[in-house]
Amino acid sequence: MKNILLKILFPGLILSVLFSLFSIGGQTAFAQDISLSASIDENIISLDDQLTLKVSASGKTTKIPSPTLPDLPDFTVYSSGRSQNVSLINGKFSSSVTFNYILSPRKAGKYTIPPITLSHKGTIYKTSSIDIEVTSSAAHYPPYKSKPPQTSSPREEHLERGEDLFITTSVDKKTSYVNEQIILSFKFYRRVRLLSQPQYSPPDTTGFWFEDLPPQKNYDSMIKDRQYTVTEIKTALFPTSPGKYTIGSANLKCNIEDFSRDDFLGDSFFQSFFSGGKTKTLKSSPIQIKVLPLPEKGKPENFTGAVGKYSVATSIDKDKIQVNQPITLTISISGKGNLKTISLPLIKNIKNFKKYKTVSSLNLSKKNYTIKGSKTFTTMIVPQKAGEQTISMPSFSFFNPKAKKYKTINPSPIKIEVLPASKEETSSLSTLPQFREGIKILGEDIRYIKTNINNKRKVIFLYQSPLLIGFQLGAILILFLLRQYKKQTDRLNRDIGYARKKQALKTVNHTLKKAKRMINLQNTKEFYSLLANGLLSYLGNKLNFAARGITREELSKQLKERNIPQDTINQCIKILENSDFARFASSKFNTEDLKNDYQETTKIIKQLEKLL
Amino acid sequence: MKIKIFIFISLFLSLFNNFSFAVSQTGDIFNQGCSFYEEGNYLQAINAYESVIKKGVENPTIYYNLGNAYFKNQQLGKALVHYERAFRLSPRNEDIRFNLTFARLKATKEKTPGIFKKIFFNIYNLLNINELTLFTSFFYFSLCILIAVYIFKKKHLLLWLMIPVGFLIVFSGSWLGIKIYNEKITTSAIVIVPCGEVRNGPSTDYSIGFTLPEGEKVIVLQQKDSWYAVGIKEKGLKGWINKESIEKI
Repeated sequence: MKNILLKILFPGLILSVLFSLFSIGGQTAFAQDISLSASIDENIISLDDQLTLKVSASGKTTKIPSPTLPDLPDFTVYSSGRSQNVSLINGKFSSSVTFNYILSPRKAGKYTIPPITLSHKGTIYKTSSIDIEVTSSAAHYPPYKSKPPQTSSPREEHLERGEDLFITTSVDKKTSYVNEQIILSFKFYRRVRLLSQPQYSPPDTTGFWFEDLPPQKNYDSMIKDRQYTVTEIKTALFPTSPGKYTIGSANLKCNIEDFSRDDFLGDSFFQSFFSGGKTKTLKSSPIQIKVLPLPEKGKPENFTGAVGKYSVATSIDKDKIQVNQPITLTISISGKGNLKTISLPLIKNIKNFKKYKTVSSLNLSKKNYTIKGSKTFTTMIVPQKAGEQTISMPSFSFFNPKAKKYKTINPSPIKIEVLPASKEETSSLSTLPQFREGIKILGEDIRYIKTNINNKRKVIFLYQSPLLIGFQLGAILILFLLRQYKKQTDRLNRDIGYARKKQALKTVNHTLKKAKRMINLQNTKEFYSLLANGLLSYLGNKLNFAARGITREELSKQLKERNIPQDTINQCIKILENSDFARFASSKFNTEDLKNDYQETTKIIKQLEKLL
Repeated sequence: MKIKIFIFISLFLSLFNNFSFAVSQTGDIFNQGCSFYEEGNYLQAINAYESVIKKGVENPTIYYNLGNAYFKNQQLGKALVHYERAFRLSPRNEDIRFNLTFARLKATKEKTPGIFKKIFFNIYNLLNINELTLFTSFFYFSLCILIAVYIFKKKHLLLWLMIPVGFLIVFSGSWLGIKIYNEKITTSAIVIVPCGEVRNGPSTDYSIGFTLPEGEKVIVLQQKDSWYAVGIKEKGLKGWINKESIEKI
């Protein structure tokens, strides 16, 4: 048996080991199929130029993660997108992804880009390192002499340097309260033609809520006798908490005509024509903002952080209503400020009204670069009691940064006349399905299985059980027997003759047993006395007469009347005579005689038992 | 030595291949069925529960679960057969009742029964056959005791007591009788194929008299070869259907 098991299991074991080996081998084969490489377009660049770093990864997988660039403190790095190519050959996916990065140097010198890493399924892949030389602009591109190196500097500096292309960022105030609007203006000045739509990356505005302020404005501006085309983009900023914040540099990447190389018919003309000119990345200087905390003095209790200038309007859609009919209560806050952050004024549970969920809607306008508008809170209320009811409105507080003061608006309470409900209305409370908070049946399905099984036996049907049927039949039998027994005892109690007759045999047997013992004891007198008494009382009981002192003649007469055969009568008389002899004449009887008489008596009784 | 090798190999296999030895305990198979059900692997769950039943287990829980697995496996007829079996054994169980009614409603698209029919249905299904047998037997033995006492003590009170007890015996006895007749003597079956063709005779030579939707309950009247004579009392329909199309409850 064990041998057979081994024979069956051993191939399985080998197969399982082989399979696990193959599966591991398969995984490594897949993993090795990713290849990673990095390249740059130029090894030597000038300080005001930039280079493109391409990281290519390809492999037999559809998901290639982004590579991790090492820290490059001497360059400003921008990601300029990725291009992916997925192909399906012989049922297998293979894809190659190229990640493009623009690197613009900060200082001249010789640098090394350390290996770029990519982690895929627990394996880390590395490229080889790349050397770059950054020359000061003059050294590499002599025609660029007229253009000073581009650094972040205010507008005047750009102007002084006579640049054709620059960007600036500015704010309308450098100190503000929390949640007070600051307008950030981004301006792009240019005197040259753009070959394509410039790419604008807005400055980092961590610590502020921001809201775009369209439209983008385009105008011409004369600065120091030079005409510039200006594009202005405005953004509203709302500081979220007090402290010092920095609005980061904005970046603009643009493609301009390159007239720097004047060899008109040279390679560079066609190069510029076909390659789309020269790409420049512009940068603005960061701006420091000081955010003041809201004064603690005079801060109302219900103040929830609203800053600006607001007004509150309240209304209800009906002022006369029946009990259990819904009314819409509207609270509208309108004004200038960061309306998005305004939270619901606390509506306490209104007495005698049932209140449902509040829904808010926002309506914003950005005219004249100011965030204005209204936020409306709509609450459904249902009166529960008839009579004139007053709904007190919640108060609303805000901080006005211009006046540097808090203001609280207390809207006047609204009066509603609630009419008693008609009979149908009372019952219609349950017919408000959209407001009823009850059980909602969304989808019916069967109930879940039971996960524990208690009884593992087969079901026995009791009505088929022989035991039960037996008990039931037994009960009937017992009842029948009980009835018979009762009948018998009743007769014995009622009929003395019957009772004596029934007891006759029992008594005589008892007496004869005693007599038998006397034979063994050789007590002749006692033996015959018992024998005679036993026989006589038996006859007396059976025939229902007084046995004691009956004469032989009387006895034979009685027996004859009951149709007892003469033989039996004679035998009886003989036994009685024998006993008389033994008792009174002290005749000699031996043991044999006693035994004979004893047997004779039992025979007589047997015969009589049959006859009587 | 051989035993040691065997143990070693089995351990080795269980480590590397999640090889599991066949579970022999019905409880284990039952639990496996439940986990198959949880995973949504209803066909495997059906197999597991069926094999538990084959091993001689018969109780409402296993029939209920099997019914659920069939229901989820879109076998409405089979689901109803097992719900009916579960219901007969445990007529007061809420879940069994709910799922049986739910499946029946889905199968026959019948409207929910009227209030009187519902009350009657609830009373009739309050007790199962065994419980009714016990009740009837209890009343019977009580009557026997009353008679026995009456034999010895002829009290009129005993006679008066015998009347309600006798009534209870007749009541529960006839209830039991009806139940046994309906569930044990009459053979009910449920159509387990999407469209059960009922012919006018026990062979495909006879024309189709009517069709039955899956889940319809019929009474099996007689059998001939692989055909059953079936009838629907309420609609007065009768015909012959292939053995494979129905399953006896």
